[in-house]
Amino acid sequence: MERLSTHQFLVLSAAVLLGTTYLSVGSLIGEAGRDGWMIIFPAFIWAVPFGLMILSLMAKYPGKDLIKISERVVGKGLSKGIGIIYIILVTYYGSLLAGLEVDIFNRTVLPLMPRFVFLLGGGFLTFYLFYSGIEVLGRFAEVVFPIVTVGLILMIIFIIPRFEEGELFPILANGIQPVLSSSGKIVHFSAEYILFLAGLLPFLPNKASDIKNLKQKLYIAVSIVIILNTLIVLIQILTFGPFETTRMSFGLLALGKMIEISRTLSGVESIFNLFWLGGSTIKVASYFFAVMWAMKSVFGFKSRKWSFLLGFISYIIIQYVARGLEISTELGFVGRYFLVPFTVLWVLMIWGVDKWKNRSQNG
Amino acid sequence: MEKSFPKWVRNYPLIVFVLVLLLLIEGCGGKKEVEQLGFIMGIGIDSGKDPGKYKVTCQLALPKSGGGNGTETEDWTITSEVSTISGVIENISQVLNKSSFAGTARIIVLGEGLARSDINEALDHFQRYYDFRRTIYLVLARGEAKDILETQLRTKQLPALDILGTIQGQPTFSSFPVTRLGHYLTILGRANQNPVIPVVQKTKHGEKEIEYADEKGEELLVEGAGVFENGKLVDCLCDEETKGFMWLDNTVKNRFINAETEGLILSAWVRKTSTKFKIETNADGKEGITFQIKTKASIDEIKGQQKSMNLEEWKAYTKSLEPVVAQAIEKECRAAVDKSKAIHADFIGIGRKVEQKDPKFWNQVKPDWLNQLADFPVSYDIQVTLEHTGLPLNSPVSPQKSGQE
Amino acid sequence: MKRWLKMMKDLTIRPYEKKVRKAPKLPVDEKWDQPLSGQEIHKELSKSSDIIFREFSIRAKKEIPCLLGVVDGLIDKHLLDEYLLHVIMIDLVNDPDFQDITIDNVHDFLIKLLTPMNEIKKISLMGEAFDAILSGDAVLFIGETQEALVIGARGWQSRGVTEPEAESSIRGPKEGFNETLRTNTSLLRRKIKHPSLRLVSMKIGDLTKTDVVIAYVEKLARPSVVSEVLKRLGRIKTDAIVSGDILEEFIEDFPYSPFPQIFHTERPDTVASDLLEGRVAIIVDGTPTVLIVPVTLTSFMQVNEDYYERALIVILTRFVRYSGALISTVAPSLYIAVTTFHQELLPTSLALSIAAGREGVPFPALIEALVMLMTLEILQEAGLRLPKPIGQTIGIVGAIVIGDAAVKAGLVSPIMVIVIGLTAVSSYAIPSYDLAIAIRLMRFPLMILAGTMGFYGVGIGFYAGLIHLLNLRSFGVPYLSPIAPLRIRALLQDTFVRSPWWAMKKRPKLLDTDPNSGGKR
Repeated sequence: MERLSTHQFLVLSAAVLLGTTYLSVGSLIGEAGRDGWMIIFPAFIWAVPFGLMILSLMAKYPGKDLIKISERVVGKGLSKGIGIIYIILVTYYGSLLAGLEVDIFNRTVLPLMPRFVFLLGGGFLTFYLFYSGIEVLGRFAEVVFPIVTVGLILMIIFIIPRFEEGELFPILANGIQPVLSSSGKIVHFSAEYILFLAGLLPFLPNKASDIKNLKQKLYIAVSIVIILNTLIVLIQILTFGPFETTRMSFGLLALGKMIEISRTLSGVESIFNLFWLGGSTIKVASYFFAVMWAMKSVFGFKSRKWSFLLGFISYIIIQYVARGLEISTELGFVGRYFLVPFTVLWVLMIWGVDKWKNRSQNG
Repeated sequence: MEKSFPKWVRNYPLIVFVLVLLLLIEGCGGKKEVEQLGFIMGIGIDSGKDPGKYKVTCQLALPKSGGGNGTETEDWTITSEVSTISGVIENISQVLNKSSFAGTARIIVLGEGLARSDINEALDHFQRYYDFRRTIYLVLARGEAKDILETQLRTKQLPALDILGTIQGQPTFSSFPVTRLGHYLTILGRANQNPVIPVVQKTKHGEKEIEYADEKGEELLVEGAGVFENGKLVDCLCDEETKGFMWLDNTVKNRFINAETEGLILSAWVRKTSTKFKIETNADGKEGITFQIKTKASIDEIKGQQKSMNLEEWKAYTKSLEPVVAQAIEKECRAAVDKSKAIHADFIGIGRKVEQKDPKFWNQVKPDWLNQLADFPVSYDIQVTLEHTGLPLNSPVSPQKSGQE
Repeated sequence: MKRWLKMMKDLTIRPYEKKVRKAPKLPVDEKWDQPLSGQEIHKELSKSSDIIFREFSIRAKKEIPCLLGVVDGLIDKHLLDEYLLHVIMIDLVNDPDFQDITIDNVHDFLIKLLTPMNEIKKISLMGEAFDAILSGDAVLFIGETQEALVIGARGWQSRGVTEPEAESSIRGPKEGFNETLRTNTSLLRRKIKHPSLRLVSMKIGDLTKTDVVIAYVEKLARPSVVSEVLKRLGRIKTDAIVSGDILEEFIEDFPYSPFPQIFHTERPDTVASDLLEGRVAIIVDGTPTVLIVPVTLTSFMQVNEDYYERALIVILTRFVRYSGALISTVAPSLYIAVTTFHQELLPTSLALSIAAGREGVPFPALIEALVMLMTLEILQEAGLRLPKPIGQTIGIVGAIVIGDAAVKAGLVSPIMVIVIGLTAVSSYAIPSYDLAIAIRLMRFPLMILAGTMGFYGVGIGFYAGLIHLLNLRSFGVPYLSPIAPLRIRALLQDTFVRSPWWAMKKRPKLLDTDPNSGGKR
């Protein structure tokens, strides 16, 4: 088994955290209105303390994922329960994310293409990545994440001529309250990453110097994502105005259609979609890995054949549970009311109990 | 460790995938060969005879068949009366042997009649249907949109492309505003500003002080703008008001401006200009807005100055012309503001500007803004810098009236 | 299904791991380990007309019969006549100790006498004698003794050291390897005059007995890579290595990948610089191409001239090469995707001119492109092995006549001809022929994907190709090495750009073969 390098951890974290959030954050700014770009920071920054807690636990229990660590800290029974909830939640949430991806393609660039083609294509890439192993996913992220980032930055640069004047001001005219409440609606974006990190632990380098390095990389990854997403929301508000930004389901794609590069290319969103396909592949594959690791930890499923079962369940969820607009609302619902509380409680509990145990031993 | 997957999957994945795909799909999923498309260039919308119906005119460019050399196109314009805009697509497909493709549409011409009732609903299709872009240009037709798109141009060009060319050339001579669909929607979203759409009209030989050889051919002219309120045309701005609006909206790039004073007419070429604004309390303790326009221009033409001057004198004289140009600009601005106050429509966005700078004050005046606007103090601080006076340094035309030629 | 899977598994097992059935032994093989006998060898080898046996005898006290066996054409005649036969037949008689020679001490006596010959040794097995004669050495059998003398007097016609035709360059040395192993190793030794250049030799091929030399620089090459190379070469069980290129398939990691995993070159300077980067070269007798492992994808995009030209220029040439590779991979599929699915990408005037060009073309863009590409492939293959003057005709007939006529007849759109032409020209910007072929192979599935699913399909194909490349390893080195896993220094020094020589103070840590390291540390 190959461990990831710290740099791969950085790009993988950033890629998973970013995922395809940039496509939907625009429409979620809600009542924050023209201050919408500020909602990103609080929504993503909480990944840092929780990530740090997990990494510090990893230093203490090397080679174990968080479910195994829970087993050591709070006992077998409870950890089994946690693991099962983890599997269910991540499977559901991840499948919805994949469904969102299908929805994006179906609603925009290729409206007449049958859905199963997207499922087939995405499923194929996910399975291929899964069977290639986590180290290939790490390298994949190393190649693809820069492409995604460059794509986003190019888009930001090209859209500058379409800016409207004075859409951002006055800042915080309605107070901080709406910003925070809108921010609360997207906190679940980082929850999935924390859960993925929980499973990733055994594959991270675990020398003492590495762990310090990893913590540093976590900061960098989160800040990259915050900066990118903030910029994305910012340019959307600047081009569309706050009202239009919330009204559009995939604002970034509409932005792509507005780009004209000196009469040579007009509307490059299909090209950008090509880049984003890579980003979403990483995201979906990360959820796939997370669930499979958890299944291994909880049930001891070693064979990779179980991934077909998981793929089938995902297929059912994507095809039959939610479509179109439902996906976004369902994602928000599951994310806010299940995923985030579960993540917060689990990590805090394990970390707290571990600390408390140590203290009582020492004292 | 985890059991490794059969190696053939690792080695042959793409081939396996392509084979599966070939079995499953046989050229479906929205596949359209490019020559099967009829490219929609412009769309005109008028209100139909029956209430609630639209008369939609689609202008398509069809590549000439067998034309190996370049982009010769045939013009094909169809009008049909439908209750929804997308209905016209269906009608086209029944008539034409190609499927219409909206991705190339660049112009929406709104008929005057429709503008007087409601354009917002008519525009809904264009923001919802994915093929259309938000960069599509909106123009308001004087008269029917159908007539505009069916104009027999002197150059035999497609009218839609002609309007597009005029609009794209706008930055060199900013004499009319440019409104894209996205911009229109953004302004609508601001709620305290009225959108403006430029007006296009037909002219003939001899009209509008324009003459040309082909006396039968018609031309399309973009001049002035219409102000909208909730999708309804409120009033049209004349040329001067439109230009004034553009100064205040900071959308002037380059243009010529004529200034007159004491028997002197000069034309200044505005090269660079920017408009800022501030909200201040004036002497009466009332809040008011001041537009600060900074313009760099050069003199292109002077009529009525015949005195010969040396370099120093000329420099001082040029300096003295600066306020003259500033006055000309201010005159246009005043015309726009007066119009805005007169028709009770804040198309300049003064309210929005107040909100930006002084949100507290805005909250006080917001409910009754349009009435407040009528006596809202507006002042101007226009600085014109004349950078040079063209190639000759000295006075105009002939320094010595001795007639030696 | 299960059986089928197993079959596929068998198929895809790496050849160097495969157990090969032993070939049935030839009658001569059975004699291999037997004690030497001159008569036996004479009997066996005199069936071939090119092998000459010369019988004579040394008339000492007791007459000693001798038999000299050589292969005509492999032996240096001058050396043989002047220093061997002349010495034994004429000078020997004048030796003061001549009369003391007996059949027992004749070997040592001759070794002493034949000092001018630089290579001389005693052998005592049949196999050794066969090997020696057939490799071009002279073998002297003495009477009925079970020992013979091998006298190195090889010398045969070989091609001179000329500039390799397949890898011409404007700057840099103009010498190339030829078919003689010794010449090749000497060319290498002339470049690296340091004791740490190691040349390990071995013989591969039951029938051909091909000499193979593994060259590496100790301390620079990772021991694990060297031992892996030796291990894989040692496992090869085959009758014949006719050309060194055959070895490639035996030792590469992923035989079913279209991408080349072994680099080969005919230029000594390229080999020398690769050795100094820590790679291992495999030199095979009878082949001018030298194999180099381990490789990364980017090493196929570099040519030796990059290192002789000034760094700034190299930035441009490499950029051209990489963009050429990209264009030749995706240009046809992008064209298909854009014209059949994503017309909104085209500016209006371009869309109209493409549509006008395609007006009347009977085939869909996908079929049109496939047919054109197939024609291109046929033209390339047809022109490849033709004598040069005819080759040009093929180009003219193919490109100009067929292309032009097809456009005029309305079978193909002019823009498609441009796209295919661009694709072909771009693929020639790829310096490595192997990589160019791999890319040619990748084009077809990509085009089909583009024709069925548009950009989504191109994306799927592109990412699948990427994952495949990420899976590849060449002797433990990840194939996409400086990019993923990221090696910052290697990436900046010598991948897309090359930093000036004076700035490359440290060796690019490209060939990190430690299995536990995935990236930058």
